[in-house]
Amino acid sequence: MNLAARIALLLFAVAAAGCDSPNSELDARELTSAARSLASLAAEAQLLAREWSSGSVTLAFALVHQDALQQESLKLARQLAKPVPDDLRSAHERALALNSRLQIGLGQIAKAPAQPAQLARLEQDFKRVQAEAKSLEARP
Amino acid sequence: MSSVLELALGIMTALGGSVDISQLVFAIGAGAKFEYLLLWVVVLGTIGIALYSEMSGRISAVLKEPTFEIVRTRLGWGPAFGILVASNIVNVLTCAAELGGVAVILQMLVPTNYRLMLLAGTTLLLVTVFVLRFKWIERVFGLMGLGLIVYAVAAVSLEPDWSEVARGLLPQLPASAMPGTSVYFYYVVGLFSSMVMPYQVHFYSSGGIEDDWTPKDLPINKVTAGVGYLLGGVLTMALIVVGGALYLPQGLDPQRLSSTIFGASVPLGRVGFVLALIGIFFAVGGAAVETALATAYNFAQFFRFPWGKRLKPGEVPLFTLCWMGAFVLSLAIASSGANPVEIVEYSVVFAVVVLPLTYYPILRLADDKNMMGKHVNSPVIRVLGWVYLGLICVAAAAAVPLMIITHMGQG
Repeated sequence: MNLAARIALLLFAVAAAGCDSPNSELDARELTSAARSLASLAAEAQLLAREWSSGSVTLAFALVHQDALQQESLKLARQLAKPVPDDLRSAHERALALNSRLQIGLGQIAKAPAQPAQLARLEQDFKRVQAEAKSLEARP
Repeated sequence: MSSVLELALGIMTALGGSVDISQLVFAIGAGAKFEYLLLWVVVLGTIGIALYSEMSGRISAVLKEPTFEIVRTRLGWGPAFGILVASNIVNVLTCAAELGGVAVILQMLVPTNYRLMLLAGTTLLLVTVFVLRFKWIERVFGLMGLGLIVYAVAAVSLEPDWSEVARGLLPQLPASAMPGTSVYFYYVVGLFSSMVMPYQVHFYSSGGIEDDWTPKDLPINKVTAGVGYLLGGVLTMALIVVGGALYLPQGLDPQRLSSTIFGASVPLGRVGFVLALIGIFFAVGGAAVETALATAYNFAQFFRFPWGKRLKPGEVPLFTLCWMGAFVLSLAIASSGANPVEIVEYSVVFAVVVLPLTYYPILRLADDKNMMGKHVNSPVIRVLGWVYLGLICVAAAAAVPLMIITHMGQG
């Protein structure tokens, strides 16, 4: 096989590794990885709410970062949108519910500039989402 | 201008221009995942980039030969053409990621459509490169990029455990609570590669010719490469410390450029936030300019047509067309809406695959007494050069398998 063909094959393998069929079943590793991402997103949402509340960042930043986190949350929802084996069904449902809670909360951060009480409530909710996602990640 | 001032400016420019989006992402991400365990990689990368930049600058000053002419002369047309294509794919991918970064920062000033900001940012950079001479391009982006020093202040403000930080300077495997060994090695390769990206050497070597270096400028070359990259390395270490002291305890894995802003805003408030925005804008914008120009340098030097930002665009039309084309192509890639951080991860991994073929001809020429005369590599530089080439080859062989095994560092 010549060099060009080898490179083409390698690039194909890399591309194939990056793809995943929506028809394949969700496995335990993917669910754990999704729970880890969910916990990280919730932690970042807490930080954004705190920084916005303290006035360390601007409204423009809060809007842009909130949007970026929402995009990540949507990506996560797409990753979870797969057939699920019975033994993972309950954990999968919890992950989906947590992700929905996160999405709803994320949409409210930059809307609450002058309401520290509301931001504090959001921060607490994100904290709970993070804790639950962590327990999901650490499930047996 | 006095030579001392010239030197100080050169060092500051190298410092401000040494950190780009790939280092921001990999360094803070490395800290967030492995605390301070990867600091030793920064030491390794800093010595590597300083070593090869100094060699390529010396070759430029002594022989007036830029990197891609060396690659073509030493390796022959066929292999050199392959390296040209691969290097420029990496350059354009990196430029796309940097343009995406510029757009994200602009959005934080004017919260509007991402693609609109992408177009505005690219136009701004195109006009800037068109209007400014080489020296001023270096200075504007390099000096304004010094805003990133805010991360060094932030690292100190976060009061990390300095004994743990010092322990990170020695290689060690990750603790059991951290992501696995394969993710650790993915970050080792990614961080190392982000520090020795080929475009940096292409740009540095061509810059020596743009600045009309002669053998008299060799001390400036040595100090600029040595001190400039050393300080850049300290800045990269600060980013890892921020990742380890701020992001890791909160369980936060920064996957977006905007996430890195917290590293300055949390410990330093609004002042840190503003300085980080300025620093990132110019560092990332400067890297976009460097990669676009490096693409044009590579083409011009390979096909041997006139080049240089010291000349008017009308005097070097093909060269001008090349860097403009690089911007336009990168804009098209960035417009796909892909996360700039994901683009940069691909470009960093593929860059390391191209690295040995870029660095090998430089080492051979700098080692050639017939060509370099009394400016040939000293025995210490020669040994270090070969050791680094070996390390780069190992990293190149491991990069793609690690990327696949670890799902791009996600475990």
